[in-house]
Amino acid sequence: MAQLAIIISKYLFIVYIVVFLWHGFIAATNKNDTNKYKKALSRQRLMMCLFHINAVIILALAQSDNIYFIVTRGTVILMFLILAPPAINKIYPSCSHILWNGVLFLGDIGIITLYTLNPQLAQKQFIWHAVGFAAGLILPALLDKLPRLDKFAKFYIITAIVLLVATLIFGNDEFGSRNWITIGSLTFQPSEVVKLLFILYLSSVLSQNPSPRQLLAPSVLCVIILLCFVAQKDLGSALIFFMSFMVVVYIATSNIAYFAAGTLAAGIGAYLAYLIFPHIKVRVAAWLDPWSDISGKGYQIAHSLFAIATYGLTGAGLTRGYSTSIPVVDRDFIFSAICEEFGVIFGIGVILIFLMIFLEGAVGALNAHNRFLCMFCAGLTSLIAFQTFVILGGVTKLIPLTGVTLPFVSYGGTSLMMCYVLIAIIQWIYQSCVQYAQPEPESTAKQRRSRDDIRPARQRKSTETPAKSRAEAVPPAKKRKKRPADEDISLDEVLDYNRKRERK
Amino acid sequence: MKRSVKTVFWIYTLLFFILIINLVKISVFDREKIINNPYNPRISGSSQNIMRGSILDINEVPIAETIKAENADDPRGYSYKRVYNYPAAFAHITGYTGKGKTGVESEYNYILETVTNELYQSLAAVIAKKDIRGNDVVLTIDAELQQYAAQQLGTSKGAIVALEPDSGKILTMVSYPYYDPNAVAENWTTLNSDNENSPLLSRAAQGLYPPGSTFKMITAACALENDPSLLNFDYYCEGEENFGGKLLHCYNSIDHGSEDMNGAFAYSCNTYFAKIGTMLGAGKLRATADKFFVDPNFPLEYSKPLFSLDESSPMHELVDTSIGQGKTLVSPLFMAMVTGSVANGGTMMQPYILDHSINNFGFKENITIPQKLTQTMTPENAAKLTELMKQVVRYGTAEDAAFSIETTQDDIISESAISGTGISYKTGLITGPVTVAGKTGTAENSGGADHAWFVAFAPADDPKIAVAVLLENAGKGSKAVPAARNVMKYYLSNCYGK
Repeated sequence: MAQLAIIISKYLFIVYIVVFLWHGFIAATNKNDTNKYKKALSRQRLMMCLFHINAVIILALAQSDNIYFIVTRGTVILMFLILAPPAINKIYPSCSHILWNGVLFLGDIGIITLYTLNPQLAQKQFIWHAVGFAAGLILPALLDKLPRLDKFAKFYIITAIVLLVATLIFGNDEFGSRNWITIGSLTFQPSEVVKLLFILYLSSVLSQNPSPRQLLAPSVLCVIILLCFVAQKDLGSALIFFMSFMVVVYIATSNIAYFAAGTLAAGIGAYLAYLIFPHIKVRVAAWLDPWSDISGKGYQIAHSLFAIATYGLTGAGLTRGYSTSIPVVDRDFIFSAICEEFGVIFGIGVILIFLMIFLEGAVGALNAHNRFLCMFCAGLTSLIAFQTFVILGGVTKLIPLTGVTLPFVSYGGTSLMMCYVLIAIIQWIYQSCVQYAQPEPESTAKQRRSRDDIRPARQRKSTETPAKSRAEAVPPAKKRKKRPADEDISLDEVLDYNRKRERK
Repeated sequence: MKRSVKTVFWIYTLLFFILIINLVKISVFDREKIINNPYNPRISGSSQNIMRGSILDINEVPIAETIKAENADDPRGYSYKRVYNYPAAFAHITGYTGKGKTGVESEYNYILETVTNELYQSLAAVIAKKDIRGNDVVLTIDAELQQYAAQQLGTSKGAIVALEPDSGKILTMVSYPYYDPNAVAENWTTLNSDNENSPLLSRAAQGLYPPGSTFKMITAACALENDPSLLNFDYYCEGEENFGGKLLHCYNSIDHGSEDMNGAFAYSCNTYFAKIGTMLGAGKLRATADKFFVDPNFPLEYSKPLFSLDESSPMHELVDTSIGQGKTLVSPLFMAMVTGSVANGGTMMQPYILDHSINNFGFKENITIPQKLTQTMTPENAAKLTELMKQVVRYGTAEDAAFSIETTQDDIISESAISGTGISYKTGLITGPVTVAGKTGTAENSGGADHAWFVAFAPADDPKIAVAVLLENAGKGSKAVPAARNVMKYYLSNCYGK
């Protein structure tokens, strides 16, 4: 009987995630139609709860000696899932609810997967989620009290460097990287904070349209921090950090030449690093051919691929995987365990939820009402996006494996807290741009209106296939080309332009 | 700047779609290769909730199957029990379950444990109390032939391996002594401590023996490859000769007198082939041997044959190796592959034992497609070697191997209805006298009396079966030749084409 329930649920889980994504798409394309938008959001929440209830039933059936623990904890988490969205709605009615739904669903998938590995771990993870969520609710209110974040560039960079130096001196080894600091009983990874501080610094410095000379200092600092990461054997952070740096510089300059030059420099740098550092060589060798040395260097990747491929598209069924054979399964390789038990189709669904979150971040960056916020929002989204890409690409042998956690899903307090902080800031930018949009002076209302014109265009596109249109949730560039007068003008740019004219 | 934001997020979309495409590639296109990796822990597990699939012979006769046995300790009132129907003939093929897994049970465990149409089967299990069944595995072996071959072996230690030369399909593979896979757990200590008989060892694939004179096939192939005129090389055998301090005898020191390669091969003259070996040199012999000693990636337990001669080896080792003594060690399966490659125009096929599997819908899956393993010699040289081997049976050391097949009533189609007169036979059958090509071998060994070898294929001009027989400590040729003959005869009259 339990077996039958597991097999039927295997297909139901796919239904939940597909319906969740579909309603995410409907909500994203109908933000102006309040009724449709709210209905889609509540359907998403319903799917989330159904997923959770179904999964807890399976877990209880399968681990019958632990049934009390699972059902009580499961109920508490269900209450959290039910109560969290109205709380958000109450406090921040204009934030991105799609984004929060995505985060909560990913978190729940992570907790359920951890339950099959170790229920104690899942309970701890839930507490982290609750704390992170609370932080995510408080942070935007605090940020509202600090209006001029872009005035403290020097403070950010100095703090970042101090943290890095502290890690090099006081850091201790964990999971093969020397990037953890222990204060009392608390261990945390300063690299996470350094990345955030650097994006903050970069956005502040580049918030005025930068000249090539102004790019020099941030570039040099970026290289120094990169070298620190590589020296700490924290290759994942190095990669994420560099990619986010490139994204912010590209957005600041709109110059593809910088992008190309940066990529070229990174290629040469990566090759040099490959020649110099033996630990990079090992990673690359394991990536190119994990099969020749399965018991040694290729162990992690090979076992990850075994987990993903063996049970194919629909998976083994919850609790029926061989999760103990997957290395670091609660952190870096949790995606392999998800693919094994829920199936690869569900795994693709998880990837699409991430994409949905990043596209919401993009909407935040697009609508931000000044250059600083736009770059900041895009930079933060990039941090999460590249972290997701680096670990998913690593466990599926698309790119060499570098150990980072999967945001919101992997077990781990620091990384989870950091992800919630990033999401909270993105939400703050997202909702502030919506709030600023309402009481506007007459002179700027015109520009605002022309920008808002894009939204119906988005609606019109919604009849296309979901995958394609999802990508087009970002307003299409085609339409804008016809009206060059509107292009890329933000409030600050207009004011800037006026000021320059006056000086002349 | 808004446009750059959009570009960046297009890049994200692209990256994540690459991720998805890669995921689909792994889980759909590369799946089979990844699953069957021996390091994958998922393929060796088994579940008490699933009725393991059966192992069937080529005619779908069950060799190993799972039945329900009453079990008061189990909440269901029964538990699944594996039953082996032919312990004597198939022990080393099926292997066993329970104390770990071996043989087909281990190699094809994933197929046997895979439940197709799982949703339907689980529903049927709950509603109609049916069993959830794994897929069945169909072997290339005919149970009748396998039992017949086991009878031929009787109670003498040894092995018989037969394969189809042009496909590599294993037709029969028996070893004696065997064990009872139904009672492995009970007899575990005895089975493992019996070093004299080692019943768990599959002598056919894992036993390593000196090849004796059967190795002269490879020496002859080397001669034909390097200097075709050696076929007519004349030599006077005095029954013994001194090669650089190493005195070599022919069997029982018989002097064969003046002979060319035809006579020397037919009568298995040691001094002649030692002479040929010294004329060719260790380097060339090694080069030819390397074409034969290729790892076949055999699915069941397999010991790689050993060949250690090289240019730095001393003269006595070259002399010994040329006639199949020395440090060379081979398994009966390997000798069957060598013989099969001669029969198949020099092409050695990948040996295989899984014909296909049958899933719950009754569809065939995992159908094995014959694959070339390596080219051991040119078709011309294979034909010349076949001629040499035919003479062994015509007038040489294995005259006993010749046989003929009588027609039976079943084979006759009466044509009286059509033409009114005469009878004709079903097409594709072999009838009448059959030409056999073969080579005997007597392998000296430190463990007592000589091992007897015989390798052969038939019909010599259109080979359908290649066979290798090894009898431990059985003395010269003795029972090996009739055993091989009987297996070939049985196969050609009762299995082939029926």
